[in-house]
Amino acid sequence: MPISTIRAMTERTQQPGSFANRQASPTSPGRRERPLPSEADLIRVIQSVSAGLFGTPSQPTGPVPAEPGDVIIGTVTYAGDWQALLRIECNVFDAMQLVHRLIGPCEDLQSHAMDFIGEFTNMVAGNLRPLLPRGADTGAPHIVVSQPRPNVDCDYQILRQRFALENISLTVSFLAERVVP
Amino acid sequence: MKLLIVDDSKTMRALLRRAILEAGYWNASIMEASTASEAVQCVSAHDFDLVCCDIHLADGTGFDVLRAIREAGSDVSFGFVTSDCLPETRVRAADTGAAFLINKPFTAETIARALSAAVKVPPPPTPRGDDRPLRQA
Repeated sequence: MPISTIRAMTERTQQPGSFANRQASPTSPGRRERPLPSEADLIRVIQSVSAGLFGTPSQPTGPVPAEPGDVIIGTVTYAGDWQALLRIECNVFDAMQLVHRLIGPCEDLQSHAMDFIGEFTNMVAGNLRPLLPRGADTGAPHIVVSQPRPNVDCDYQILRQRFALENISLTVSFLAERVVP
Repeated sequence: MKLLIVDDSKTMRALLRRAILEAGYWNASIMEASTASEAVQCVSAHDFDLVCCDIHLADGTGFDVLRAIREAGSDVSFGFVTSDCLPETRVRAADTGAAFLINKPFTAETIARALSAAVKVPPPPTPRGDDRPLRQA
C-alpha cells in the first residue's frame, strides 16, 4: 500500500478543530461481535499507526528467529463485557533505535524506549477499539523488560503477527477470551 | 503563543512539541505536565493560549482537567490529543467544549490546522537569515 494512501487514511480519521461529524455509530457496518480483530484489521491499524509516526508503514513478515537480548513488552488490557489483551514486543536495542529516529538524541534512551513501546501499544489499542465490540474499556499501558520467551499455549484466542518497521522487528499479539456460544 | 502539553508519556510530549514547532509555531513557549493535577496547577499559575491534553492520565482524565480549570475560572482554549478513537469520545469532547480532538498518531499538518482554528492565530512568519533567533523557544 503506498505511503500516500496510508497517510490519507490516517488524515481522514483526524478532523481537528471540527466536530461536524458528531453522530456516534455504535453499530458501524462490519463490526465484529467477537472480541478479536481480523488479521487484516490488525495489519491495517499497525501500518496506519507506524506510518503516522515514522512516515513509513510497517510490513507484516513471516516468523523470524527471536533477537538476542532482552525485549520490551507493552500490554494494554481491554476489560468490561469482554476481556482481551494487546501485547507488543520489541528488542530493547531496536526500540532505542526507533526512539532515536523519532525524537533524536536524548538522555536515558532506554527509559524513552520503554515509554515509546507503551505509547505505541496504547495507540494501536485505541485505534483498534472502534473495530471491536463495545462494552470494554482500556487501561493504561503496562511495560516490562524481559527475556524473550517462546510462545506458549493458553486458553485465549490469539492473533499474532510480526512486523518489520525500518528493518526493526515488532511482534504484535492480540489475546481475546473465548466466547462460548 | 504559550502552550501547555499534558501527557503521561514523555515520548509523546516530545513528539507533540516537535509537531507544534514544525507546524510553524517556532516561537511558541511550551510547558509540559505529566499528570492531571500538575496540569491544573500549571493553568492556575500561568496564562496559556492553549492546552493540549491527553485523555487517559495516571491520576484522572483530560475531561477532569478541563472541568477543573473551567471551575477555577479559566477560559483557556483546550483540545484533546488522544489514542481513544471511539466516536462517542469525540462527541463527548465536543459536548464539554473542547476546541478539537486529535487522534494519535498525528502529523504536523493536523496539529497546524487544529492550532490555527483553536487559537485563531496563524503561525508567525518564519524568520530568515539574520532574523532567525539563535535559540528557539
